[in-house]
Amino acid sequence: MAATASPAMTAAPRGPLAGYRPVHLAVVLLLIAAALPWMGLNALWVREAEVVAIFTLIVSGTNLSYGFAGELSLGQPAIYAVGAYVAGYMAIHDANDLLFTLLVGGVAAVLTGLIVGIPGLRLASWSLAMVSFFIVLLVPDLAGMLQQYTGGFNDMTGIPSAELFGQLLTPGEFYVACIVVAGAWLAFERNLVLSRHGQMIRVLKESPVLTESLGSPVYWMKVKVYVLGSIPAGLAGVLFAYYDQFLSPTTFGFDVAVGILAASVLGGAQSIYGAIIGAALLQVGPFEFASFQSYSLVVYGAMLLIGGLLLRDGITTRARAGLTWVLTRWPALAVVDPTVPHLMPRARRPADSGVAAVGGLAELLRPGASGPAGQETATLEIEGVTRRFGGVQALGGVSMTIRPGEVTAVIGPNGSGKTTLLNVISGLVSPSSGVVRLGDRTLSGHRAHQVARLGVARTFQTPVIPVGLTTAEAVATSRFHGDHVGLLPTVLRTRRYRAARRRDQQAARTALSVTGLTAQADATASALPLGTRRRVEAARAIAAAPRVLLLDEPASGLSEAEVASLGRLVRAVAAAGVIVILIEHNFSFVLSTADVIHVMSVGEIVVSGTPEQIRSHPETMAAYLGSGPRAEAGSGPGAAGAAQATESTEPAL
Amino acid sequence: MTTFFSALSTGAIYTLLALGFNVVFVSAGMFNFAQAQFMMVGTFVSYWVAVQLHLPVALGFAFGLVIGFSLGVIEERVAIRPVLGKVAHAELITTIGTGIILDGLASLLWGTQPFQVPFFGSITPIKIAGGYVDPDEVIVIGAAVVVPIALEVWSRNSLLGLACLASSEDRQAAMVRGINTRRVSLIAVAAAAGFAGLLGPLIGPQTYAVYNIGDTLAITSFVAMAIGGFGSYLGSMAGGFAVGLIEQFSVRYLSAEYQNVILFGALVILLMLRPAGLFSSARVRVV
Repeated sequence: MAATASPAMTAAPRGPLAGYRPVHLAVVLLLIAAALPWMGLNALWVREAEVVAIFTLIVSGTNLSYGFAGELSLGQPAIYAVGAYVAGYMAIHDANDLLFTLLVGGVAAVLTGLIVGIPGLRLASWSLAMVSFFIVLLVPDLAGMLQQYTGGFNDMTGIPSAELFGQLLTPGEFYVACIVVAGAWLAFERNLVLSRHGQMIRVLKESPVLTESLGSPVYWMKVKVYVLGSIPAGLAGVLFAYYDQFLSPTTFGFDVAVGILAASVLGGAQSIYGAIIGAALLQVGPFEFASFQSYSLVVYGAMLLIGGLLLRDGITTRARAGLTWVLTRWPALAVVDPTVPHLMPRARRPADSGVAAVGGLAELLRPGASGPAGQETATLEIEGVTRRFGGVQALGGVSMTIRPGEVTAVIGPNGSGKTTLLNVISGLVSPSSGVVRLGDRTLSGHRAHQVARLGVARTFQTPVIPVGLTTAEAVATSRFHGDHVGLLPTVLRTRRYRAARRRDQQAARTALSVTGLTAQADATASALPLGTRRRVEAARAIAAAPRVLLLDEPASGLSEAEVASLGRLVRAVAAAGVIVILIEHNFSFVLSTADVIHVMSVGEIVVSGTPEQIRSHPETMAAYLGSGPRAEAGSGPGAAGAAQATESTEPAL
Repeated sequence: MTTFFSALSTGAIYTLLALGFNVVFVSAGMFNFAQAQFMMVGTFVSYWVAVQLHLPVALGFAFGLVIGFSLGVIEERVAIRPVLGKVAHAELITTIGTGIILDGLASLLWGTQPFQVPFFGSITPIKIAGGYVDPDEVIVIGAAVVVPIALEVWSRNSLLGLACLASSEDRQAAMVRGINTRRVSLIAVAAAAGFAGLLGPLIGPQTYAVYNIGDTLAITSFVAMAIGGFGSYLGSMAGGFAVGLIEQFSVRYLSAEYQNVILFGALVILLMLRPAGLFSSARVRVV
């Protein structure tokens, strides 16, 4: 597992393109778009472009919640309506300042998003779709009930043109305002998606269990992303109120929801700027929204069906691979789709050396400490933990104490409760009775994300690696909460965010280097082979700098050399003062790595002891591992008459 | 009393639709957004058979069943199987797409005006306990009581019923135990679609044949499922009737425009307090 030094840093562009970043092209394009009316674009097309900007906002909100986070919302038209009515009412009633109405519209969108998201996200994804669709049906009813404010079915009329700081905006200036609002939102969305927050959103889409294990509460995170995706719809509504200067409840119906969804899928739900393409197709493309004919339902339906099928492996993957190929060659074009993993910004990486890596590991795990003496004194105590699943007793009273610096292995046949034990410790499963304590903190009874934040990191038997991240990014996701930076500093890329990002890269570099993954740092993590993904899991857990490290069968699928260096790694992690629990079937690996071995059977610990004691206990081996210890190369003849293993039906230690 | 009866009969329609959603939910572990559209297709088929072809209304059942079943097979093959379990959340889009295509086809074939679907039996209202109820409503209410009970018994006692439960719980584990989960999901989607089509002549006289009736029916049945618990057949029945009562009585004592708002309020409260439904002890897996 000798780390091959990664040969090529992405060479910084030289010559005329030195210092160029794709974002500059985006700014230039935005300026050109804003200047179009003064470049001879006629008034009709200016109006069309305003609608495209408005639809872009709504579509990109759908992209954020469905494309990136996997939560489908059909309620965008209702939030659009709320923004429009609020802005219209304000504008008519002498509060007509564009910045103010945008603010109020945004706040109204957030509130509506909360009203829909908080109940809608209690169940699976389709429940959000239904609850959010429901509020679209409510628009005409609510408009009618609030007739004195909204005009009801008589429509809201007489909305004045927008003002800014007391100045009435000319049509050209209003156009610029539309472009600026859409551009500002897209910039916000870009910075969100391409950030640590964005990476956690991908984790969320991939696996709720992983999200919890990395310290994020799944439910609130979903609500947060959904509410963020509602904001642009509210802003779009504000702009629309000024655009049409007249609002009718029929403008915000089911057909709009369908059109927005189709635009999102067509433009690429997982892209940032694809929303512009989708919105343009909706307004000026062959499917013109304005002339909503009966055949257009069939067309939209077919687009959704086909678009949904294209999400499947194969075509999009290949299209994405093609895009990646193009973009890696001409990075200047990266403005098209900055979410291609290979292009994400990263710092320079010095060549690795094994020695530096080991020093880095100690520094990563116990920052500030020098020398082998550990400050960590808290022990992990498991006391009489039981767990029943229906009528099945998965754990029947397990107790053990694990000290920092010690590697504890749990072995036993399949179904003996080993993984359940890890799940109980990490909070994914709550114990039916019994207590888990880390130092003086009680872990049991806390949710998984809370346990994770107390310093418990774990790997999974089946690696869970989010799609669309490089290995280095996937590894750094575990640091999101230990080194937290809020949403706003993140999107604004403040100094604090950049510092955290640098620490992420440093930690990821160390974790990758000690797991022998340096060469794969920039590869797409989810596409790596199984054994390698297992190492990515270990690297991710280590990068969190945990106090407790839980490894669920880390050695399966690894080559002999890899297993050996994994063993050294586990020892080194423990030596840095970390509590390590290892579940493993590879017996010789366990014998050479663990300080204490517990043998489990049907939910109970039947034998505990040092590796020597366990090795000399052939009945146990025969009964619980299915065979005696295979002749370990170089371990010599079985140490007959060695120390007696402690044996009991009650848990030892 | 008449309000009560009409509440029961609209509630019965929600119940029957919710059953269709549930059959797919239980067997394939997903929400088939096009389910309500199959019911819409059923009403048009019975209109087509009875009014346009001048065939006996009862033939509408057979046509509805066959057409619904076939559409279900097509949907499962084209829109569900290629993505379910392979691409996260893609089936939401493809089944919505299917439903919208059906909406669009219906509006192309029959236009956007509602058509009255004739009932095959007597249309003289029956007087019961001081209120009036139409014979077709009585049949729908009866079906909404009998079918859920039958489904509940069937799912707990028949091999196929247990296979359905098993494959929604854990597809891989079910496969390992020799259950053909693809087949289970195909049968479930197609059977639910056929069932919805079959109901056309029964519910058409009440709902009329309208191209976009599926959208609102889907929402109200969703509320019924939320009340009764997703995956529970008896819960669907309780939830369906509850929604019917809430709707009719809020129309009667408040105003028509409050009907949906009150229903939405009920849905929000339920999802917050009892996300698994009032009548279900089963946990819906969130993580």
